[in-house]
Amino acid sequence: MRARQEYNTMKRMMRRMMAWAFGRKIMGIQMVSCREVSQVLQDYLDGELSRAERRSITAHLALCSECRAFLSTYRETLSLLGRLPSTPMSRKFSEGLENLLLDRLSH
Amino acid sequence: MILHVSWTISGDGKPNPHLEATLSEAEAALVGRLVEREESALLEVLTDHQSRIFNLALRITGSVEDAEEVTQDTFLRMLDKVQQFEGRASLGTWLYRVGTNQALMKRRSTGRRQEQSWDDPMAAFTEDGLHATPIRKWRGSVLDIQKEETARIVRQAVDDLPEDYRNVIVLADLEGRSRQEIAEILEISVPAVKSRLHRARLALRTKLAAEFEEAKE
Repeated sequence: MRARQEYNTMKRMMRRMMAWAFGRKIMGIQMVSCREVSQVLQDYLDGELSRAERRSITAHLALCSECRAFLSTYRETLSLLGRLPSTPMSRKFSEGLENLLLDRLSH
Repeated sequence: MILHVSWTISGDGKPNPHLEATLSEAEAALVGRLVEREESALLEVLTDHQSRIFNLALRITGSVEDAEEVTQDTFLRMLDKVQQFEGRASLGTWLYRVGTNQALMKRRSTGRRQEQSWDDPMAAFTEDGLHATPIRKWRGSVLDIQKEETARIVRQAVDDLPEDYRNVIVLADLEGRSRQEIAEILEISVPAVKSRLHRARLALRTKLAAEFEEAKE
């Protein structure tokens, strides 16, 4: 129970620190918000960001467990879509279509 | 909808000489046999393409009945127009584009679905730009798409998307078409395809998260 409270306190503190950092430049890296990360995730995964933008996103991901989970589930969404199985056609429809087209072919 | 494959009357039923310059020899011969009304050529085309056209139509229309109608109309159109096939794209590509356009028109004309309201994916953040609600990982056990329940949830989530989102998700992520090709099919710019696709993916991620997230600690 106590450990859980301490964890939640640390998490709140971390969120405040991150909100403070958004928009500032720290050690030469432009810090971006979670919203900005989500806006460019597609370009990040497609390798279409500049080097500086990529560094900003990578730095944010290193600090933010929520955005790491967001990125992981965004990737998972794409993976599920890409592997969605085909639906088989019914034999009845397939045979009917073949007969209809063969009939049309001969007229 | 504009079909980006043009057609000209070729006349004598023989393959247009242009076909041989742009299509493979085997495909040009296949089109020639279709023009000659050979049954074996029709059966070959059906074997190669009917399942793909049916699945494309099913993903766009969300209805087996509508997908069957679109598949039938696409192949009937092929038989009606094959003499005019100029071959600037392969027969498979032409069938695919006709099928896509027919399915999009079918979905619009039926209008049988009440589209659900979807929250703006960009609204899920605080004023500071932080996630407004906790983001959790997804349960590994449900992520096997071969499981019927998982596939059903994903199909339903795609089908529930607003039309603009659904069309780009189907063409890009289910059918694997390029951004350029989608732009041509939907008659929008490539940047519009990219922007719409990202928002659609974010919306779908949020929808799937409600089903797949790990339980609260």
